[in-house]
Amino acid sequence: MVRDQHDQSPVKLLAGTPISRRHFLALTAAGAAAMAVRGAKPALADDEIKRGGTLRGAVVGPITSLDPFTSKLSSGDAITYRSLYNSLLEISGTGELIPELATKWTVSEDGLTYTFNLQSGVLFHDGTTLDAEAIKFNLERYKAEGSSYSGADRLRVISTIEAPDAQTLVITLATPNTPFLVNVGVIPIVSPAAVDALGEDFQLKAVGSGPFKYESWEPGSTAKFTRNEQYWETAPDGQPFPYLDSLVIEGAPDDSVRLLNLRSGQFEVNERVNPRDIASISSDPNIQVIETAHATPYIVALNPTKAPFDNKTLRQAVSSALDRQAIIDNISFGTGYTIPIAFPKGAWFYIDAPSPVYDVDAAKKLLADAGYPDGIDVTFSIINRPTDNQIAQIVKAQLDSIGIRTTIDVLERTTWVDLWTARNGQLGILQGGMTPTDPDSQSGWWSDTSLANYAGYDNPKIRELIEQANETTDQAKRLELWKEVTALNVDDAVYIFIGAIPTTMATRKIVTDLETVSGYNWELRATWLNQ
Amino acid sequence: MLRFIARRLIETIPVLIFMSMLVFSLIFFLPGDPVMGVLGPGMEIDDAAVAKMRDDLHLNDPIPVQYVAWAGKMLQGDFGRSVSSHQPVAHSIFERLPVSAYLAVYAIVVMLVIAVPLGVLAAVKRGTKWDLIASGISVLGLAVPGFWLAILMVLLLGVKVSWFPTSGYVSPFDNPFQSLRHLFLPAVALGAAGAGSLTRQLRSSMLEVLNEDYVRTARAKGLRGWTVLSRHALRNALIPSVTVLGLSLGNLLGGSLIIESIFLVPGVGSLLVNAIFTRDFPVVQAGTLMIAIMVVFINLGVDVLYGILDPRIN
Amino acid sequence: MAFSIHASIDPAPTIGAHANDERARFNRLRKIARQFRRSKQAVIGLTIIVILAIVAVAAPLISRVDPGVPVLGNVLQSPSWSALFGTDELGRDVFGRIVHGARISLGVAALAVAISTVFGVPIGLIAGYWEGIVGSVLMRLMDSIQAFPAVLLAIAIASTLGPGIMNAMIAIGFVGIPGFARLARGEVLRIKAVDYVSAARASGAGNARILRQHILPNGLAPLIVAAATSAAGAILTEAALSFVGLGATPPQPSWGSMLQAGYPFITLAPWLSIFPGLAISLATFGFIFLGDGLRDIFDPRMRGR
Repeated sequence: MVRDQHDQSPVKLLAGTPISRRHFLALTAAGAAAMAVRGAKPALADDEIKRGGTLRGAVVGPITSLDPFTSKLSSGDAITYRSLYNSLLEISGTGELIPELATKWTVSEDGLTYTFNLQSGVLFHDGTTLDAEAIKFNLERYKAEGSSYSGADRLRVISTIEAPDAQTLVITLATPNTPFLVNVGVIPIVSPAAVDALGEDFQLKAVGSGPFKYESWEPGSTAKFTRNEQYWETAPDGQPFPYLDSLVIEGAPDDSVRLLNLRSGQFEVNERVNPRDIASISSDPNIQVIETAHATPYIVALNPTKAPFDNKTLRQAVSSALDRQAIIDNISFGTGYTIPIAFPKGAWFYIDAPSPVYDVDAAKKLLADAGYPDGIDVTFSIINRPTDNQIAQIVKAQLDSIGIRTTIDVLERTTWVDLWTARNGQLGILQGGMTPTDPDSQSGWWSDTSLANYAGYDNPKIRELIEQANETTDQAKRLELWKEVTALNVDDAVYIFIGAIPTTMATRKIVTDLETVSGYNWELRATWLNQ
Repeated sequence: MLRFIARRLIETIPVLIFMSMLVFSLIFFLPGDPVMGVLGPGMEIDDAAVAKMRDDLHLNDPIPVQYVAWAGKMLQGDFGRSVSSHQPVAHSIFERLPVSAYLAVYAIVVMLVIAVPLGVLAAVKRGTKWDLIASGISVLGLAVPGFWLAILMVLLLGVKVSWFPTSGYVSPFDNPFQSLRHLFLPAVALGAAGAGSLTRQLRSSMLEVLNEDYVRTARAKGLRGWTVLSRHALRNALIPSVTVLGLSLGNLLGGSLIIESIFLVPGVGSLLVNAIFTRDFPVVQAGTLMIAIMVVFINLGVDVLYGILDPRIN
Repeated sequence: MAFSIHASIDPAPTIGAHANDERARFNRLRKIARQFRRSKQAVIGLTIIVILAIVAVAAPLISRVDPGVPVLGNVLQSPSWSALFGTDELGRDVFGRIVHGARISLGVAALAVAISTVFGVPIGLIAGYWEGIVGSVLMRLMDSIQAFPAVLLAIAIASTLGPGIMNAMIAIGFVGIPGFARLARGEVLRIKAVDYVSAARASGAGNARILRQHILPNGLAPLIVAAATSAAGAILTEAALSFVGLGATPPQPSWGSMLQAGYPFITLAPWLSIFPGLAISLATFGFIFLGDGLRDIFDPRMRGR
């Protein structure tokens, strides 16, 4: 199903809309309707759905762990968890919340209590029941002290979790937190019994409740999953989902390799197509291109904690010297767009402010004002990735031309991370991920606890604004607050957002009804092969 | 003969020990703390954990002690854990070794198929244009970088014309025909360089043999050209070529690194290349050593074979 | 006191004729030059190398544009009269980059071979001269380095040290040391077997003098051949290192890293994957031919083939 990512259709349900009782009923009704709709989703009107077959997918980041708890956040992980596990809800490409394990939910007036009604009859792959207790176990595990779960911070706003009965889950927060619904909603729920039984091995042999279950996985190699015969959702033909018999996921970080394999028929799905290849596959009769709601932002980061970039004027000189449009055009082959902050087009919170103007003369003046009339030598440390490489060479030329003489230092990822967490980097390049779920998903850049804040950027005003935005339920107000954040960020020029490239997937034409949720995770339960 | 083998085996031991020392010492050349090389930086580790790790790894002990501890673990099959996947390195390596070996054998077959006819042709038609052509081709095989040949083949044979799949691996046990098809391009890319040196070696040993007295005698006795060629000349010419074959194998396994990753062959070579990109030092260390040990033992086998074949030693 | 060279050229050895050293050397050189011209291979090889060296040295004159600066309006142009080899993903002229890249490839090769020689030869000389435990241990050490496939060991060392041309040189140089050590040792052993060394020793010549006057000149020939062959290997190894991201760093136009950057564009811009590879092959070809040709000249047994 091709999704038009520029579809600006009004978002129906989203965390952040005023949660009043009236809205709740609407939420509930819409939620139930969505369930029904999903269960009866037709493909093309004249094609009959065929069961069976194996779907082989190539992902950019090989799976690091089958347990979200120890996941290193590779794309393969996220994609796999969508098939292995269920979560309370999922998020569509336009930001709608779609019920899954939670059939409906309500939020109290003060925004502190969330009550979820749960689907009954859900079994894990090991036969145990998925009920409120199981979900409670999961949430406590993820948010525990010393948890390795990447989203643990966002769960720590929880003060209590209760399971008054098997189908009801009540979560109380310490302070109101508008993004909470989204954050807690997408967490994959694993089988507590299996975690107890397998211990450390759980990350090798997942047990969830999703449409596919674990068959085999060699770390660093292919992962195979088979159809969960006991899946709790029923398809229109009366049998449970999924339609596919099995799923194979293979990590292939190289863009060209993935594409070649897709074209030759070795894979049915390619997680991501490099923009340079889009033109050539558009003419391939066997391939269809799917735009997703996900995009990758590219950021030039400056280290404000040490010289020379503790000098704000110098940072602004760098910001003025960068021709963002030229950079993003070159690396995206025209598919990308400049951004002042990592919010994607199509999201309700997309900020369409113009980027800082590319002005070489202003840049030179700022450089002189900063105290470097004769220029300065800086080191540009980047991770060994082709796109970073390309960006770095363009940036170097642009900075060299105003007198900021740049030396490019290509490092392996872990060395780079080391360098920057020790606050010894000067200039660097970062990539991120952006989806139209909630602006808070981007707050890591300014956080004082998150590892994502590689530059060590400490701006209390921005943090304050973000906190306010999280506690507000009024969408318009939230947007205003984030616009302030954007303005402050641009002025301070620590994280210089260059541009974003929308993520495009490609599949072979026989793959029908593959949806992407929560960014570009593959929703495969209703997917079938038209062969 | 057994004494010969035993003696060669014993001679190999100090070499193996030195090799392991060489690989072991790499850790000291890592920029930064050796602990990070084993743990992988990017993990939030507090000082206490680092101190404990240093202790576990004997990093505070004198170097010889460290080496002995490391070597001991290796001998027990504990190659450490991968920094990225946290899985035991030994497991990944031994899983992938057969695939690399299979590719290597395939490449050797390709090498022989190219080199034997070319080398014989060049020797027999010495000085003529055939010699020049054959020699030219063999030098080309040596001069052209294997991975570039691989890229060219992907371009010509994989993209322009889809005769051969440009990647992937099918086990020969699952589907022999597809298996051979999938590995054809990488095997040729790998074998080209070896074919080059083997051709040259064959040519020169053939020439040597053809000039030898006993061949002349055989000719004089009236044995027909081809018989002389195949029975006497070729067999004796192959003997020093066996040595070159063994040497080529070393280069083959080295060259397999890049070629395996271009063609997505799940062997030890592509494991190593990935490990380089992810700074997975334990995998790089263990993988390098394992491949090299494999080469040593194969060369040992080649030596023994040489000893068996060569009447002069016998 | 040429031994091997003389034997092939001048049948009348001038052993003991110290006074005639200079003339003997001159005659020797003339004869080498004559032989050289006779070996087509050597001539071709040398020509190629010399041309490449000139290109490397004169790079800024041949291609006046900075090879690292992107020309964003001109990306991925196919070869034309204005850009002989086309342009890359940042719009840079591929021909210009290859010309500048010659500096890197030839430079790394030369320095790596220098490292191999500077460390390898003395080790070999020592091992050959003091044949006992010292020699044995040294040669075992050399064996163990050589037991590793060269590219593999170079990659392992370079990945440990980190990216960068210096580290690539060290890695490649290190891997080449055993070859030269073995060669040097072989020469020492061979010459030691000859009487006149004992004669010289009898006449009171010290070790250093023997090494200098008798062993070195004779050993020079195979050393030069080995250097040429080693250079060929160094170029290939440097390309391999750059291809996996070790070695030259952006925007340095190493031929290997050009191949690496160009591979993703193989369907869009195949020229990016063709020309750097041609350059590598040409350089390697030149060194192999040169080495072969020199070997033909210096070793009489190989002649007449």
